[in-house]
Amino acid sequence: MLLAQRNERRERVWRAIQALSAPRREIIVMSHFQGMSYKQMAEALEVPIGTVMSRLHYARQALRRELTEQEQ
Amino acid sequence: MSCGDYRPMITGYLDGELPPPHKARLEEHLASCSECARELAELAELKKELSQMEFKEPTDEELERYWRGVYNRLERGVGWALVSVGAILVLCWGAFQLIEEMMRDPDVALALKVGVVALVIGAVILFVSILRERLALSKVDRYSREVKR
Repeated sequence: MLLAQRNERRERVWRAIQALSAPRREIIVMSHFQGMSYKQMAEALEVPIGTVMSRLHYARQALRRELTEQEQ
Repeated sequence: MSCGDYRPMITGYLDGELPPPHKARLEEHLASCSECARELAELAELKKELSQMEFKEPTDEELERYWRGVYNRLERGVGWALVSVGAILVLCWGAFQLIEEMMRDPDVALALKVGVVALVIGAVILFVSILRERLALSKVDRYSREVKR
């Protein structure tokens, strides 16, 4: 992939992350950019690990939907 | 268990956070469900994409500059708001005094008095009309958010 295309794609991903609701953005940032484990996120958010997993799942789904919408 | 129950587990599986018994059950399900297998592939792609991105923490200097900017904007916003309110009050009060004095003065021609009253009423009507239009537009204007960006 060309550098320009890669940058454009990254820009789109950032825009999609910004378009997420605050709780979804928060969990995406904690997991992907701060490299936190489920246990660390559960402690930080004061929720069970299962809740972290489902919240992260729905946040990723929302992010994917946002990206698809941007591409259309 | 339905696909809906397995879906959040796909995320745990991808992140290597799924306990072994759940992992085995999910793998069994994935082998027979193309929809969930597709979900796994799509989320894996997204995860790969996100892993290639960096989240740069702002330096102390950048943070300080940012907060200074916010403070300056806030300060100027408050300053402009006070100046505007003050100017409007002073102008309105001055205009009211002037008009009142003019109306009581028998030497001022009636035509001028009528003209001034018409001017004031016209200005008020225009102001209310524009205000009403703005309010109505702000409720239905789909692009106002985009323009602000």
